[in-house]
Amino acid sequence: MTKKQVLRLIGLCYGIVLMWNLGFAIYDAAADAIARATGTLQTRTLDFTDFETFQMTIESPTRAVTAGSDPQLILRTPGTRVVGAAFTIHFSEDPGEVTLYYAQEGEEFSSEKKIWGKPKNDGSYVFTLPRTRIDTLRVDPTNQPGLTMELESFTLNGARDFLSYFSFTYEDLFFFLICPGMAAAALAYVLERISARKSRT
Amino acid sequence: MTGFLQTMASFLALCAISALVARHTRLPAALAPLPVCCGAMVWLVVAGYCGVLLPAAVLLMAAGAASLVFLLASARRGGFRKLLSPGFVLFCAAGAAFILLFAVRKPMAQGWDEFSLWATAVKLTREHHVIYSAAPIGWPWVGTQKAGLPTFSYFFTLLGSYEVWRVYAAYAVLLCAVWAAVLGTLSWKHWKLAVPGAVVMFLLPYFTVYQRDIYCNFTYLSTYGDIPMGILCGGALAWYFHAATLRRQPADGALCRVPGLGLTQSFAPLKHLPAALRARLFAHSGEAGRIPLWPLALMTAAITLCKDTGLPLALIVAGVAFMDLLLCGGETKEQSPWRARIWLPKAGLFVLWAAGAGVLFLASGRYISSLGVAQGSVSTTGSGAQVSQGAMLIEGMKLLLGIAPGDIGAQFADKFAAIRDEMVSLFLPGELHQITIVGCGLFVMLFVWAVLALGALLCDNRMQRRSMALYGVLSTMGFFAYYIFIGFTYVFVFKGEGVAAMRDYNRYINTYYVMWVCGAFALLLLAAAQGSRWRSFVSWVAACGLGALGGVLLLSAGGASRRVLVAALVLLCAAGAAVALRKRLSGWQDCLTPAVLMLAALFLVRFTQLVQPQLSVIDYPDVVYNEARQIEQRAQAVRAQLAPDDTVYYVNSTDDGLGWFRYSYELLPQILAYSGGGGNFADVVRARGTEGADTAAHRSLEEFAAAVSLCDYLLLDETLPAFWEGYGDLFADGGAAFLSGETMLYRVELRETPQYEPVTRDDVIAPDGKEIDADGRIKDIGDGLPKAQKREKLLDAQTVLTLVPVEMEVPAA
Repeated sequence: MTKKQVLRLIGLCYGIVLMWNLGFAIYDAAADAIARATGTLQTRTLDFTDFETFQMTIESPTRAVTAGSDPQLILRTPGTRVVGAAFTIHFSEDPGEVTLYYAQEGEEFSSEKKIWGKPKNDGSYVFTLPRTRIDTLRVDPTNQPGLTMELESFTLNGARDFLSYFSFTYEDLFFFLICPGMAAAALAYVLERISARKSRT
Repeated sequence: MTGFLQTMASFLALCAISALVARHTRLPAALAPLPVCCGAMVWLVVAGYCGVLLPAAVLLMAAGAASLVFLLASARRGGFRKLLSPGFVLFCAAGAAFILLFAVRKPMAQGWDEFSLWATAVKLTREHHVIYSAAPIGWPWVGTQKAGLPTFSYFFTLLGSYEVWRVYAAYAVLLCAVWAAVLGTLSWKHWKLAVPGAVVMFLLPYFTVYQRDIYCNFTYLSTYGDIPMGILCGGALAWYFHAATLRRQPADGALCRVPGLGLTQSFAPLKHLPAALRARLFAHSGEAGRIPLWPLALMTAAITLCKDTGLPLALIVAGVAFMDLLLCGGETKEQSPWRARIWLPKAGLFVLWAAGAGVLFLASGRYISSLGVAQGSVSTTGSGAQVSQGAMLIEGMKLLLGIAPGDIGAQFADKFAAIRDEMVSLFLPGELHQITIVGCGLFVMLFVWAVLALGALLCDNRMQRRSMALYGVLSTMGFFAYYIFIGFTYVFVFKGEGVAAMRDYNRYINTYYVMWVCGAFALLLLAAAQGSRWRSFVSWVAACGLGALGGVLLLSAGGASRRVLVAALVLLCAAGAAVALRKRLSGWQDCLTPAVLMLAALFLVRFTQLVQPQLSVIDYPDVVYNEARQIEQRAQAVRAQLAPDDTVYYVNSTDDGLGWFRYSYELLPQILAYSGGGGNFADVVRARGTEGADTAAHRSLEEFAAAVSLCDYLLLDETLPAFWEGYGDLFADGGAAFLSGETMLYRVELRETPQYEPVTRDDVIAPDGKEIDADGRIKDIGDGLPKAQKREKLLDAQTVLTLVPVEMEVPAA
């Protein structure tokens, strides 16, 4: 292959993966919009009383105190398809690890289906869930005992900015760098071999 | 941003020197960064031993700046195309990317040994501009570990202030130099090998992950020296294999061979030297002469400076390189390698490589010994060594061979037998014996052999095949030698009865496994770059076999989107192989390329199986550093209250030692006194008065007061009620300020009579006749006294130690 062809091939592989990702983002945005229009995807606002709790004392719908190092808020049968969750909780101390588990009916929670929360600048946590069937959610809002939590808001399937469908993580960037490059190398190898074969025959 | 630019300045200095070396010598560009980085490490450590670390570091930085200026000033002469090799570009790009990532994310130290040694050592070096062993720290510092990695990291913190992410960046740059060496002589026409090669090298440190991580994996986010040393050893081997291959390759060979500008062409004054002298001095520069192999001595020296176990590894590297040079040197059949004219120069090179390691090892020992005499606090034979290394080897070999041991060996006979049995058992498959991504030690050996066998099976170059076979044999012998050496250290150096002495087994052994795989992979890449030998069905079966293995492993990979991507990749490779088989191709060369691609895919799949990328250096959540950040903030608040020469006593009732190490690290250059090693104070009431007890928990009130009196402040971290029951009388406020969260710090004062009125921050009540300080405090009669005299004063029946709360802003928990 000539240098120009190689560059084209590499560009093509990166382009295809980029388009693939962009296509999926657009598909997700469109699917959510349609689901909202048809009512299968609803925005729900929750408070502490909507959850089963573990190692936690509910003092009011918006106030709770943790009673152990593994407090949990469990939501079964959310009543809608779940594609995202967001909450703002004011903690009396640094909450430590904030995580969210998701599972299908009858399935145990596992670290394989766990998302680690990253606080935004305003202190809220936003979780984007995979597009799979989700019947149960579990939020571990902290790993600190004796901590008071004031719930400002907890929203399932909150309205999303269209551009948010196109946001990427460091992990996405890593795989975007590696996979198309590897694919281009493999593809170039195959094309070169086919081309060499043809020229011999 | 400032930290990023300051770290980049150090990196650019190394890049510029590497570029200069590559441009003006015959060394391929990708082979320049590793000797330059190792040379920088050796230069700084030697300068540190001579007490001129700071000038040496400044000189190195200046050399980098001068190189850059020279390169730019002489840009018209060209020679830059040579720098655009895959390896050199990868070194520059990946190094800059790591620095940028760490500057943005700012990871923090979190491992035990980071606080007890590695990160603390760099911080000490940075604060005092001396080798860390010579820096004041105020506790029985086990400063006998080699100073290579901390001192190399110091160069990356030279500008600006110390931050641990800059140390991680230094480690990453060293690893990137190894990546460049592994890609070595590959040119852009080998890009299909360079891409998977870079992927494998990035993932190589994860070779030591042995189970599914559900917590954050700190590979690349740690200052531990084991993995970097292993990869550096592998890099040295890779560097040698590329250089040696290029030496024996004809001018029109497959590998990258771009001549440099030559020193005599570039530096005008050199042209005036007599021609004979010029040829002798600069035979290795520019177009004349062959690729020089002496820089391997810099690498063996750097390996020795990484850790105490570096010397045997460096000697193994030198031994493998020497035997390869001797038996695969590229001589014709008529030139027997055993002729003196052939082997003598090679033996000379081996002596040079071994001397590089040996001299630095001895120099390090002498330096530490000199400190031991001066400070009286460090061992001269290694960390906690019970016998010298020579005696260890002799007695150990006697025990191993069943010869009657001497007096020293006889003491360890039972322990030797227990550890020998355990180490044999751990090498073989068994429950809990899995220590790498491919399993136990035996599987690692099989994996390395499989990679080498595949390369040797398919490689088109006779000498390369011989080189791979030789590496298989020698590296296996080296492994058993190293394994036995580690066993000896468990028997003779590590404390503890029987197998209880076998701490961190996988960490120490994994160093060799990483080196082993790295060397094998470098040879596979070289073989692939030189083309395939067999053009038959067998070649393809071998390549497809590796692909099938990747496919099988793929079945259990986690993460749907990733699985789809990797599946597509493997299928693509498999499709290529299938096309080949279907058409019964008989003339296809380059069948090692899919093997390398499959290997990279296999690594990627195993990586995604065992490590969650969002819990690794790629995308870790900030919350993993919450605790570290909190302690850092608290330590900063404490430091704000201290004068430069103040020492602090640390109390934590629930500490196992880690808390003390953390505060010791965070408070530097302020001195946190030994404080009983951070032991807990929980059972003080029960243990009070226990005779002979020397831990913090067993101190009486008087002993505790005497220990605290040597310090200026008392730092309270965590306390239990028993602590207040035992020592509450010493506190002017009974501990109220600490318990209410107003302070963590108490000032140590000596007073003439006990039990003053409680002293508060705002209202100091002075008993009649007592002298008042200028700041309104009751005068501390120990003020201005040397600490030893202060303690003597305390023993006077008329004085008592009192702890006065210090007003400070305590960061929220």
